[in-house]
Amino acid sequence: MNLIRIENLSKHFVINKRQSGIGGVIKSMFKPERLLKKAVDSIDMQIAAGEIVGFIGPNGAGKSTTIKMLTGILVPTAGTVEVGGIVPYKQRKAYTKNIGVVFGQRTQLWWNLPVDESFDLLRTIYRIPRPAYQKNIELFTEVLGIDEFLHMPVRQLSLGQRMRCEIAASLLHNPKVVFLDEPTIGLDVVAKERIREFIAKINRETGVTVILTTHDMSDIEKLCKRIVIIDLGKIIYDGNIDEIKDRFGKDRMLVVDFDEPATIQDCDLHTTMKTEGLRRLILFNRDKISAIDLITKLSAQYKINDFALQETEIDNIIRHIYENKTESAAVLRAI
Amino acid sequence: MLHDLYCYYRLAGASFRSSLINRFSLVFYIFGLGLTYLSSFFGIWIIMQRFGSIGAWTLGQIVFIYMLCLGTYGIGGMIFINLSEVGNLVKRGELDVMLLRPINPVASIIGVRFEMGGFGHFFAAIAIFLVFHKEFHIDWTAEKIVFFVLTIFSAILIQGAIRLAIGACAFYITDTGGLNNLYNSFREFAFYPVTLFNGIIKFILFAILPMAFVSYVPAGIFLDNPEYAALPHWVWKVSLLYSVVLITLASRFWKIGLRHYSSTGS
Amino acid sequence: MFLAPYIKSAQIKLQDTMNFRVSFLIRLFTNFLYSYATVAIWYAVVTLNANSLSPELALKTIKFSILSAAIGSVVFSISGYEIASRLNEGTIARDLLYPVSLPSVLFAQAVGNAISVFITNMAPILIALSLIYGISWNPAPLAIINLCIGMLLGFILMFLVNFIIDMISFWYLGTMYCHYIKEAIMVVFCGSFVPLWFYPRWLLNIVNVLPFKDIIFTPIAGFLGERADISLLSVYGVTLLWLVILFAGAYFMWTAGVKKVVAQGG
Repeated sequence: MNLIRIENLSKHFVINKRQSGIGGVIKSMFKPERLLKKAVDSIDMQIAAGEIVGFIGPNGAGKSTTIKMLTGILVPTAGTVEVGGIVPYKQRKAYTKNIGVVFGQRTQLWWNLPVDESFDLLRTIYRIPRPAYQKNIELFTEVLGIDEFLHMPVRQLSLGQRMRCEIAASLLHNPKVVFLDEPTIGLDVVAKERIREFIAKINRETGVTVILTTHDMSDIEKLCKRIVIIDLGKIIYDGNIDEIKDRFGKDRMLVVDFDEPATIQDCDLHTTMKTEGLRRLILFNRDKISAIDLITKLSAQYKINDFALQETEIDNIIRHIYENKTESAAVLRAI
Repeated sequence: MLHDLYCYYRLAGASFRSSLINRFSLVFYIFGLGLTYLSSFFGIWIIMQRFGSIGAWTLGQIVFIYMLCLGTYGIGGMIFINLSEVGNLVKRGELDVMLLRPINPVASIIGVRFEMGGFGHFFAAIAIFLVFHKEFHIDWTAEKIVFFVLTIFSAILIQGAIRLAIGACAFYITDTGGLNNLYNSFREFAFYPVTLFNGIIKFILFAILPMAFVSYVPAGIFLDNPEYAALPHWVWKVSLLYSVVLITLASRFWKIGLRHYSSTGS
Repeated sequence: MFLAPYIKSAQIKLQDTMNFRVSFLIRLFTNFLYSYATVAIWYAVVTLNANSLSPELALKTIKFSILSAAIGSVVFSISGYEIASRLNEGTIARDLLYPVSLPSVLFAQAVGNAISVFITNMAPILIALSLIYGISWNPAPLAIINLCIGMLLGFILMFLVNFIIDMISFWYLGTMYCHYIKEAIMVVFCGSFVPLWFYPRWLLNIVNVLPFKDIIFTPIAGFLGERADISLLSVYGVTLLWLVILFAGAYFMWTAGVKKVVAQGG
């Protein structure tokens, strides 16, 4: 049984093009120049109860617009969105009880209040019965270890501590779906690991459906079986993570600082992703060419000052897919 | 609705308690703010000492209107001040967080900040009342007391309606700082009987930023000024209902703004 | 030339404020409204009480309220949070390292700001209010000289008062509240709202021993020919004496404050 059903969902924005100068302002008052931006362009997706789905894509791809429609903040331009039989934007108030949301960049807690007082306010707001509330608090303190700073004001918490509290806060009212928007952003490795374990455990124990957006490949690897990649408002991949990892996870990024301006021809073995002054970011597949061979090859052409090897992050994979759209789309279709 | 009110009460209570942490500064703040209003009031008192009256307006009547405007502005500010921040809430994405709660977002917005400075205005108004209540020449019957409470309630509602409408503008223009300043400067006129001013100002205070209904109009219920005899007495009492009209219009506008926000996301 | 850095910082401040055009227009309009509210009240007072004061005094009072609003827009725009904000952001230690002295830079900035407010606020407000109330100014040259001298002295006086309060933040960071109390005191003792000729005797006695009247009232009184020219010289003498006292106080506080910052490493 699918909990989340998205069909032909689109969101278009009309953007007024700004013009410079006083003449431009007056002109745009009478004859505004408008652009239509298809932030989300006719997507389809089904998510079953209890799944953990990684929702990824470069910035501005339509991720957050989709999440906003799923949470009922934005009204779609066309198409259907339904979560547990409810259309989010139509019954916003009733619907919010079914979902929990964590935005990595902003807080749902109250900055000046101690954590426990914030939780208690949420208990009132969501009308959580006391026994259920107590049970959840006990569970979260045990798994997340938040009891040490339960009495501290939110503004005094470290980012990792705050994020643990945010996740706990989003789950207090036993939602069916929880949206985690970059829950590990800015955290150190230990804190990230802790957050991941918690998400996995809560998913196992309560069966809550998790929709996770992240730029960290390890989040996806540790938590999700399924990923959805969105770009330019369209879903370009929806499926098993292992396959995509096989194809792209072997990619590595070589960061090279040349001594002179270098022009490196792209070929099947490697692609230049980024040019920053004399620095080149070169993506290569380690099955096809080893790092040593690549460096040898490059140093034969140009003088190399310094280099470093990077693991590919999901962002690089996405960008790779994005920048080689036709080729990658073919690859993805083939999977 | 009742649940929204209860949530607002809990949120505002939490904000209230957290502003009690630095008590010395708080007392200083409230005292300083109250004092600035009392000193401009002192100027009016000097004028009244010199002239006895402004036209047909006696000291007590002028003071009553001043007090009404000052006190209700204070309470209105305490409750509704965060509506001037809607633009910033949108910009920082905090409004989205508030929309994800099962309560009216207005309760979430105004509950974030209970403005203690409002006590400065409020206490100044109380002080004025205590010193000058004999000058009002109001016979405080039970009916008058009930209407006084209703007047205060309606005045707060009007200030809330104005702030809500300005907040709703944030969905279209984002920065409402200028509009708030306009509201504050037009409030300056509402400290006095608005008929002292020329037609344009009167028109604005009655029709656009209806601050006349905060002080001048409801004062007709209580004051024995010839101006109020122009219309039958019940008119002034019924005028209190205008606050209900205004808050309804303002919430309608707010809802339209919110709908605009949820279709454009900006 | 040793003045160059100061002229430069005055210039930068001037450009800064000129740059924000839209917010500037709204600010101008709200400032105008505040001024207009005061003048409108005085207009109502003198027209509705025409039988209890001479036409000359009535006209003089209107002129006073217009000039007071205009001059007030300049002198009350001096920032009182320069030291406080530098202490808050922790940049004070760096500012002390510059080869120009911070108080002089602040004064130069205040002058730059005053010139910009003079052009962008005071002049438009003065013109608009004069047109609205049909006031024609035909001052004698001596009156203009009196106004200029008075305004200059008043400006320096106000700067020193603000600077002294600002420097309290070396020891206590809640100077915002001190400014509130200052504003309250100003309204009563500098005679910006009610011209001193309407003050009761006992209050006038207090006002006369304090320096604050020289900020607003003295320049206008000099301009409107309220006092004989000889006695004005003695008034300026007393103002200068106050300036020396305040300057000494400011110097003392500055030295002590800097010592404290240096001792604590900022």
